[in-house]
Amino acid sequence: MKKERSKMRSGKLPLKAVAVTIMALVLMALSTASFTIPVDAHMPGAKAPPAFELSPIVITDDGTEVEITIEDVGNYHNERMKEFKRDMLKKQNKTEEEIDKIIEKEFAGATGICPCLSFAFRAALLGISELWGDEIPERADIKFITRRPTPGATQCLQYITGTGPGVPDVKSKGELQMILPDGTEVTDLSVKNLKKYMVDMNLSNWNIVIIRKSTGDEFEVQVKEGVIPEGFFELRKKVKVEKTATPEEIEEFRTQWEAVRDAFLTQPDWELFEGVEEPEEEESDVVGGAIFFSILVIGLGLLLVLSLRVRVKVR
Amino acid sequence: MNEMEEKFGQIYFTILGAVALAFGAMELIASAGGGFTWGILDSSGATDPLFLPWRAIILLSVGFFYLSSVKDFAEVHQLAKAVMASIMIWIVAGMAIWTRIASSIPGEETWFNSLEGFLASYAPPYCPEMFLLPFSLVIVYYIMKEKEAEK
Amino acid sequence: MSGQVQVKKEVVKLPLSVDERWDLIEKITKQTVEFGAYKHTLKDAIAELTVKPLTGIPVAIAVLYGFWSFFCDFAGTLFTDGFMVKIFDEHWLPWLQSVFPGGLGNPVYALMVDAGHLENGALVPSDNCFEAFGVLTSGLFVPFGVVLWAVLAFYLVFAFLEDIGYLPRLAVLVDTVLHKIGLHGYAIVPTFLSLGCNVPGVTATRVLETRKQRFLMITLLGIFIPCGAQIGIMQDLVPELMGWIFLTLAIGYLGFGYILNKIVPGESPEIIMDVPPYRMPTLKNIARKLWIRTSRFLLVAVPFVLLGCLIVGLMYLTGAMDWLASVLGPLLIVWFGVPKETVAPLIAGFLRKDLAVGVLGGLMEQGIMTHFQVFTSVVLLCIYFPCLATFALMLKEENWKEFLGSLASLVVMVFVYGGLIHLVGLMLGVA
Repeated sequence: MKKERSKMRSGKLPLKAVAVTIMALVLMALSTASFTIPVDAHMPGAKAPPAFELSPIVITDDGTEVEITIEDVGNYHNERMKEFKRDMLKKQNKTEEEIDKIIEKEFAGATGICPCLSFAFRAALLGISELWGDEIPERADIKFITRRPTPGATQCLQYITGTGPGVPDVKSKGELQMILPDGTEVTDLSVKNLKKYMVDMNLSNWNIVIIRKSTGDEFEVQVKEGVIPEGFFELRKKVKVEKTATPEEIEEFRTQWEAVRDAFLTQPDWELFEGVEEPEEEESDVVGGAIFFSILVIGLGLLLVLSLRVRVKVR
Repeated sequence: MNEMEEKFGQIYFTILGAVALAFGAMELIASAGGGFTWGILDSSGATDPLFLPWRAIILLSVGFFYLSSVKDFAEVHQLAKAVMASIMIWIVAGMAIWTRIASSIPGEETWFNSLEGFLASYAPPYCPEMFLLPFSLVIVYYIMKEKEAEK
Repeated sequence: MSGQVQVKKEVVKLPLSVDERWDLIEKITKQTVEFGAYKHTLKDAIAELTVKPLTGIPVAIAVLYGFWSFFCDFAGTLFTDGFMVKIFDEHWLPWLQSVFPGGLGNPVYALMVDAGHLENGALVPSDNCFEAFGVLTSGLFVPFGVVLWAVLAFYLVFAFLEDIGYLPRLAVLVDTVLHKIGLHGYAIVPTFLSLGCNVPGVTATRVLETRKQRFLMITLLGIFIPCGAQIGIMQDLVPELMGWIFLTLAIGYLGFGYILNKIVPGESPEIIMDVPPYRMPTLKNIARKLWIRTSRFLLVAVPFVLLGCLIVGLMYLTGAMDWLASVLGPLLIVWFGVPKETVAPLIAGFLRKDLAVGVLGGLMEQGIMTHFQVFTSVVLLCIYFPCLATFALMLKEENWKEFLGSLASLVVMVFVYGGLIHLVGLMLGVA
C-alpha cells in the first residue's frame, strides 16, 4: 500500500461530490417506472380494474404508425360520455356551473374502461392479429361489423377506424358498420340513438366481425357462453333500463359488471372467444435436463476423485 | 511445459479468448435490448436486470485475460492470467448451475419437485458461460504441469 | 545474562555488547541461511494478479457476482421462497388463525396472530405472514423464514473469502477509492462485515488508528450499509429495485463520506497490513465461524423482532400510529414524497430494519404506494437510523461528542439525501 500521509483539507465546498450525487440520482430515477393506481367509476361504486397487461393496437394512418392503447380508447369514451351528459343536463335547464359540478363528481377517477369497451378492444386485437399476422394494418384497410349497440364498444371501434367525432390526428378512415343480430342496420351511431337498441341484449350482441378490405378476409369474434355470468342480461335490464332493481340486485349487477370487465382485461383469448384454440402447453424438456444433470453429476464425481488423488499425492 | 504444449496452449486460449470476447459483446448488446434467447443459448438475464450487463463485463474481461496470456504462455505470470480467466468462468458458470440446483429442488405446489420437474429444471437454454465451462477446464492440465515443474 | 554460547567451534563469552550481538547474529545467519533467487510460483503470480488494479478489479467484479448470485439463490430461491413461505403461509398462519382464541378483530389476536386488513370496508384475514403482522406470525417469519437464510448465506461466503485470503487483497484494490473519503482499504472489512450485521462491523472499526477514521467509518456504516437481514427482506420484496437501491446507497456512502472527510478535523494515517498468501480454507474453520456468527445474530435479532412486532402492533391498536402518521405525515409527504403510512415501518426500523422492510411489504400489498415511493421508502429505511443494537454499540464505542456528531450527520444526511431523491423524482415526473 502507498505510504503517503493523507492531508485534511478544510474550507473547500464539495461541489463535485454533490454534482456527481445528483447526476447519479437522475440516472437512477430515469429507469424507475412510476406505478399509479387507476380508480374506475364508470359504473358508480365499481372497483378499479386489477393490474393487467394488454398490448396496444398498432396501425398505420397514411404512413404514420399509430399505437392505440386501451387507456386511449377509454379516455375517448369518457369524453364522449361527458359530452352526452352535458347535453342531457342542458336540456334539464341546469346552469353551466351546476353541469360542471355534476360531471366532475360523476366522472371523478373514471377510466372509461367498461366491459363493452374491453370486449371491443380485445376483439379488435384478436381480429387484427388473425388477419394481418405480424404486418401492421392500414387504418383505411380495416372494417368492423359490430352487433353491439353500446357506446363503449362503438366508440372503441370508432376510435380505431378514425370514424368517430373528435378522434385525434386522423388522416385516413376505416369503416364501421352496425348490424344487429336481427338484421337491423343502425346508421346513426350517436349515444342518444344507440340507447333505444340497448334495451334487450343477449349473448349474440357480443359479436364483432373484423374484415381486411383489401383481401376480403374476415374473422368473426363471438364471446363464449359462460364468460357473461348467468342472469347478467336480466339484471342489466332491471338496473339500467327499467330502473326497478333493489339495492341487492344493484350490488349483484355491479359485481357481475366488474367480473365481465376484468375477464376481458385479463383472461386469454381462448377462454373468452369461440373458435380460438387453447395453445399447447410447452412440454418440459425432461430428456435435455436429464442429459445435463448426468453430465453434471459425472463432472462433479471426476472433480472429487481428482482432488482426493491430489491430496493423497501431497500426503 | 514443452514447446508443443506451449504452442497448443497459445492457439487454444487464443480461440477461447476470442469466443469469450464475442460472447461478452453479445451479452452486452443483449442487456441493452432486454436480453434474447437463441436455440440453446440464453442471454435473457435474471430477475435483477443488472445481472446481464454484469456477466457481460466479466466475460469481456475473461476474453482479454485469455488473449493477453498467449504471448510467452509458459511464463508463470502469463499462465496465471489464463488460470484467473478460467476461475472467473468457473465462478459465473458455477453460479448458473447453482441457480438451477436451487430452483430444481422445491416444488411449485408441493414441498419437493417431482422427478420430471427436477430434471426439466436442467434443460436448455443455457447462458454462454456454461458453454465455455468445459473448454476452460483444459487449464487444469497446465496447472498440474506447472505444479510438477515447481517441484 | 552471563555464561557462554558456542557457535560452531567458536566460544563466545556472555554478556555481549550491542555490537558483539550483531556480529554473532551475522555469524549464525551465514551458517544457517541459504541465499538464492526466489522463483515465483503459480500461486504467487495469481496472488499478484488479484492485487493489481488492472487485473484485480475484473476479478473482484467476478467474485462479487458470485457472492450476490449465491446469496440470492440460497436465501431467496431455495429456502425462503422454496420452503419457508410454504411453511409459514400455508401451514403455520392458517393453523394459528384457526386455533388462537379471540378471532379477527380481537386485540390480543390482532397483536399475536393477525391484525387483518380492510377490503371493501370489511375486515378480512391476511393470507400471508408479511401482511398478518402478529408477534407469532410476522415476528417468527421475518427472522426464521427470511433473515436466517440471508445471514447464513452471507456469513458462509464471507468466511470462505476470509479464509482463502481474498479480503486483504480486496482491501488493497479499494484503497485508492477509500482514500478520497479519508479512509483506507482496510475499511472494506468493516463495510463487508456490516453487510452481514452492523454490530460486528462497528466493532471491527477498532482497528482503525485515529478517532476521525473511526467516527467516519461508524457514521457511514450506521447509515449507508444495510445489514444482511434487511438485504434478505428487500431481495424478497423488491428484487427488481435491488441494483438501484445499492447504487443509491453506494453513492451516498462515497458522497457523504467525502463531505464528512472535509468537515471532520483530524488525520487519516496509513495502515500497514499483512497480505497473506492464498490458502485452501478448511471446512471445520468455516463451519465454526458460521455457527458463532449466525447463532450470535439470532440471539440478538429474534427478541428485537418479536418486541418490534409487539410495539408496532400496540401502536396501531391504541391509535398512536395514526396520531404519529398525522403529525409526521406532512413531513413525509411533502419532503420525502412517501405516504404517511410509511411512519409505521419507520417506527419499526428503530428496533429492526428487516422488520421495518417487512412492514413496508404489508403496505405494498395493500397497493397504496407507487413504484417510486417504494424505492424512496426502502432507501429511507436504510439511511434514517441504525437499528437499536447498532445504536447501543455506537454509544459504547464513541464518546458523547462523536455520538452527537454521528446523530447530527445522520439527521442532515436523511433530510438532504431523502429530499434529493424526491426532488429528482419530481423533476422526472415519477414521484
